[in-house]
Amino acid sequence: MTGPGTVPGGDPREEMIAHLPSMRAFAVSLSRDPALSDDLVQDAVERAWNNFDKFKPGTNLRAWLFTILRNIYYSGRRKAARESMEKLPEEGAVPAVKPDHDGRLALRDFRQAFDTLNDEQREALILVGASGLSYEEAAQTCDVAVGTIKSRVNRGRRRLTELLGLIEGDKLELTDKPTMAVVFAGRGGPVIS
Amino acid sequence: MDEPKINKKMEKEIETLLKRVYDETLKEEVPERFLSLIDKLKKQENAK
Repeated sequence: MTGPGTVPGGDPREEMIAHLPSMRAFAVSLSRDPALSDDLVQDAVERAWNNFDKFKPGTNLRAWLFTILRNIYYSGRRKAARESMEKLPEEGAVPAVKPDHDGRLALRDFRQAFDTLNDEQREALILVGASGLSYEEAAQTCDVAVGTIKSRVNRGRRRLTELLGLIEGDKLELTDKPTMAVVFAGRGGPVIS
Repeated sequence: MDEPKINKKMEKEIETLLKRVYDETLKEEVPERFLSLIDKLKKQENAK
């Protein structure tokens, strides 16, 4: 087992250090709360450290760490729900984001829309779409079938297009308003086709 | 209810935006508390 954090002859658990940034990014996308996400990462690191004998060498350490992290997150959510008898928001209960674009999709709009997806869709999109896990690894991380992950990814993408008011044929450009202002300064403004 | 159609371009744009959102946190410096935690865990174990 080697990786960017490996020290030859050192403790293999120190490889976890190299995965801290992606653990934090995954935790933020799950919890949508930076402070809570760092607490989640801390708990996950402690748990992984003390249970490292359960990690199978040769498998994906990051996926294993993500599994631990999401288990802690969901167990915390279940506990909070039991304690407060809170009703978890249902998909569709959140009003759609009104897109602020004229042919361009702003990153801020996207983030807002992404945050309104349900947990399952957010984590599937992040695991497969952003963190680079395979569908199989993501399925293992979430303890579901590969087909379930594929379906969550597809539903998440469709939901995003709904929330962002995108329709097939829309012209999309990855540029937010401040960037566009700089790009088009002195050019007489953008030409929107 | 008709589901919105997603073409390959839209799919790619969504993936790119996802990566940008994810990378924002990924590029942040890892807080010192995590490195201290790992040090603490090592020391605890060595003390056993």
